[in-house]
Amino acid sequence: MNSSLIRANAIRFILFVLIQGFVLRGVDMQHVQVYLYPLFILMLPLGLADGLLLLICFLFGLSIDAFYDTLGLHASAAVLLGGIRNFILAFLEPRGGYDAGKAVTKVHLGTTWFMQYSALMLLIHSIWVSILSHLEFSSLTALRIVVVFAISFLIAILYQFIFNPKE
Amino acid sequence: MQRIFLFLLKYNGVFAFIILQVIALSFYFTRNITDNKRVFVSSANGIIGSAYDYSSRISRYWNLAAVNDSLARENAALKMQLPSSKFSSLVDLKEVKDTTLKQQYRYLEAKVVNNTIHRPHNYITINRGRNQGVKNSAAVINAESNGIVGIVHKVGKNYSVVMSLLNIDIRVSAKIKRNNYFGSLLWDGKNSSKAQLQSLPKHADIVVGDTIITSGYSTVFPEGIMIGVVDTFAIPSGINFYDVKVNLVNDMNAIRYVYVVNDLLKEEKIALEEEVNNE
Repeated sequence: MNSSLIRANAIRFILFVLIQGFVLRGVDMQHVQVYLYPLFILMLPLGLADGLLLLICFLFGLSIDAFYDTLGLHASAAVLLGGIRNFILAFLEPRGGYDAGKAVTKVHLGTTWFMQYSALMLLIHSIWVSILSHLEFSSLTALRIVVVFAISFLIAILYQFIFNPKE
Repeated sequence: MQRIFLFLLKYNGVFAFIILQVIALSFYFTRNITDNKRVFVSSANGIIGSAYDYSSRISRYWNLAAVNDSLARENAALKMQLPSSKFSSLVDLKEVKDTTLKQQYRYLEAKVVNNTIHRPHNYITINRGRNQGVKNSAAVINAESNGIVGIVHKVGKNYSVVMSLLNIDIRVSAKIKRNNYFGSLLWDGKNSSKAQLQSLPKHADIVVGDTIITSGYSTVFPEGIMIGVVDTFAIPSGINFYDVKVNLVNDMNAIRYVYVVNDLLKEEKIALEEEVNNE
């Protein structure tokens, strides 16, 4: 874990909260929201202590909640993502294992791997947020989940291709 | 499977996960309970609140067009309720009925979508047409300054072309507000901020700065619509009429919103006057 990695994540923390809070919050078509913020949790470095990882996720989620006025909703989703992350990383572990202390990005782990990883993570996130925010499950909710997932997946992948972050 | 099991053993974050998830969910499910501490984690707190205030100051500009449209529509509705746009049918005091005030002028708000001022024959295009109730040779007045703009020339389905006041073919019956001497207003095709008032008799009392308004004698403009103020006047030798230059109240280049004024009793007046002329 070096200082440039910490700096990159700190900048991402602030930037994602601001973009999510000021720009993407304005997009609301039929309760379909555009989520960029899960990408921050997706890209947190490998080898963080579990407790620290979850605390960062919690604080990050609370910051998003402060903008959305949905106290606890995104904090819960962020903590869930932080918790499920290690399982998905273990599930998708490449043959050579992971290099601890590196950010989870397309550069380090490959395009196919990153797509599988973000698809699983974002699918869980979309389901959790959609069900929790409406507290019901109908065919409309299912449709909403699919759309929310598709948009946030597209954003996550595009982010990797446009900025190609290394840390 | 074994790998996941081993992973679970060393997973010290299980407790952190449970605790934080319980906190988050309890926050979420009790979010409607008013609590001063909760205000901090919402847009009601000072930092995020003022940040949103700034961002709304910027984003407000993107909504200005829609706000203007709705305000213009509301104004048109309000103008229609004014006593001056009603025609009093109260003739006999014994006949007081619900229908004492009949609508004479119908105002319709419209947006200018095309405008020229530099040609001899200037026309303005507005975004209202037959479908919205625009009639030929209806009056068009400025929504902001209430000055005259022109006369509807051609009516399409959803758009109309208005003969601008800056058109050398236009004739508007106008009068001096102070003493009701009337003449005919036209434009000489030179200066886009000045028009000429002609046929004003030599004995009329006129001073520089007199307000010129529409006379209401024609069937186009209602009475009292602002035209401009007298700039200069002179009597050319050998003619019995004044030659008056009028400073227009409107900046014809800056017209954005207009009202189309339909005189609902126009046909009756024209028919009646024609009958007399044919006798």
